Amino acid sequence: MDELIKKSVFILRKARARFKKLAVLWSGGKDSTAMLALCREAFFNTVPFPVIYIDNGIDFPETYALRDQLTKDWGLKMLTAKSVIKTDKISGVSCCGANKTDALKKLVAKEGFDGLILGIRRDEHGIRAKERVFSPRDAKWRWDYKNQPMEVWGHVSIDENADHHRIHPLLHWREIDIWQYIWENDIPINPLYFSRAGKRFRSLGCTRCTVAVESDAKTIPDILKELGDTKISERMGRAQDKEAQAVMERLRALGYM
Amino acid sequence: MGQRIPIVILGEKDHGKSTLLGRLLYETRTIPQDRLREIQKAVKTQGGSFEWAHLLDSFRYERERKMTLDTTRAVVALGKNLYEFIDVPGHKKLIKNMMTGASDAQCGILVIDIKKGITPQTIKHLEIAKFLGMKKAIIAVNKVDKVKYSAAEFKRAVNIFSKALQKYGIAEKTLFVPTAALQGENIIKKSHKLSWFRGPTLQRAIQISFKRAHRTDNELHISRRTRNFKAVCLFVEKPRKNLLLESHSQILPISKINEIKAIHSVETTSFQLKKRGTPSEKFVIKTNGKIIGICRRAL
Repeated sequence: MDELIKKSVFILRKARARFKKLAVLWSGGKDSTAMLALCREAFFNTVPFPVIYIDNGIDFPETYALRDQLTKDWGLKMLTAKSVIKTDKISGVSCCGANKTDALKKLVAKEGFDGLILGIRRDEHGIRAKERVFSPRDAKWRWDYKNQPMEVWGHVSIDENADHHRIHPLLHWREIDIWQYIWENDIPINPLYFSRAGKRFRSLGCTRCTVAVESDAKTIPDILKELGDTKISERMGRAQDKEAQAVMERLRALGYM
Repeated sequence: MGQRIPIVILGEKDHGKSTLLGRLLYETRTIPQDRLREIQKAVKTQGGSFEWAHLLDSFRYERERKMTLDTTRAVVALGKNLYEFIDVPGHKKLIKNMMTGASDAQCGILVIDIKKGITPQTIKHLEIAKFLGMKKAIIAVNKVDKVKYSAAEFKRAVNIFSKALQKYGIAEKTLFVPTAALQGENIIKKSHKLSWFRGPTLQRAIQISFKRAHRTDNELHISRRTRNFKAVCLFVEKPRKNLLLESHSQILPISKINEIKAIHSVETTSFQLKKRGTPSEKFVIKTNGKIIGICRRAL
């Protein structure tokens, strides 16, 4: 656990040194909440850059409540990017792509961020496993996955032609590591992860495309135990990972998180 | 939980690196059932047939061309340790991506096709990985199904390979393991087709050869739990094992090269002035008269 934390703290501090205007994305989920806690470890109990929350108006009430609580308790500078749902169709590319990514694009252009910190992990999805820790995006927010920069011994080369860089300090964490960290450090967490009436959420998106999985886990130790035995993947309840698998690849190429 | 040990999978293209790792992920049940089905379904809609390498090669581009474009990682629990397996591309033109993956690993599995043998690219991978910090290796003599699991063929191959690899620093006691990654023979379970083989399975070989993570002492970390010093600068990047007085180091997140003005030991209460700070001890460093924090130990 110490090694995982150290690596993330190193990446965060490095990012802080190399980029002019950083922001961290927070979704209401466990990973991005753990990320905020790691930022506080790296920068002596503060998060010294704005936190971006993309609000599509149909997130869970629990998510909004947690946002307000964290903003207050941790003194966060919370920026909300309002996204508008334009379609009734629940589909990866048209929904997540059009809504969340567009809202984020507008905000980033307005504020001029050159580094966005994201809590993605390799074990979530095959496409995410291909990411670099520091990953450039061009003016159209495309991810040039066929020609990613070299990262040797943790050294970073900044691409000067990039619109911004994505920074991924949690790539090396697994789902179970995140829960272990949350448990050991007593980090406030979205109550939707705990079982109610035999079901809980393992991965959180908006109310529309996230589905609960069957589970009796009511506490973090329950979750840790459950993850030890499970044969089902974490993002099973997420629509954007399904259909043809290339949805995630296309989404990410378009600038999705 | 035990240690986390990174292992890079090396070798020429099409000798079976991704297939070997894909099969390992499947046999250890690291890939959840529903994700396996999802991948199989996706491959079908993309118009191909499923291969073990698809567990790693997740870009459409990679699946269509049956090659690995960029490096991937997957964490697998074997015994009491966690192994972080790093798949890399074998193609000549993709060395930059291979290096990105290999630079984090002090252990490696070199995959060699028993029929095609050692190629210049096999040697190139080995040498680059060694240059980047690889200390220990296992040789997987792959595709033994192509020689009908023959003991004589395997013995002959090991003879040739070990002689050829010796001058590249592969020690005599390095384990050579026969594998048929595609069929899953001798990966996790003992194979009855290889009943003549007295040595370990690939899994056992990994556990025998790679017992601990070999740390590199690149960086000096400042204790993340320190709160009594309001530190502005928190991290010293890539200096040397010992932090020397009057040496210049890059300190993050300020990212300026700073001269180290003073090093005080904090093992004693009196803040003794020192000439150097070694990775194993606690000390305070000052630059331009400013205290910047407590260093703990090297990563």
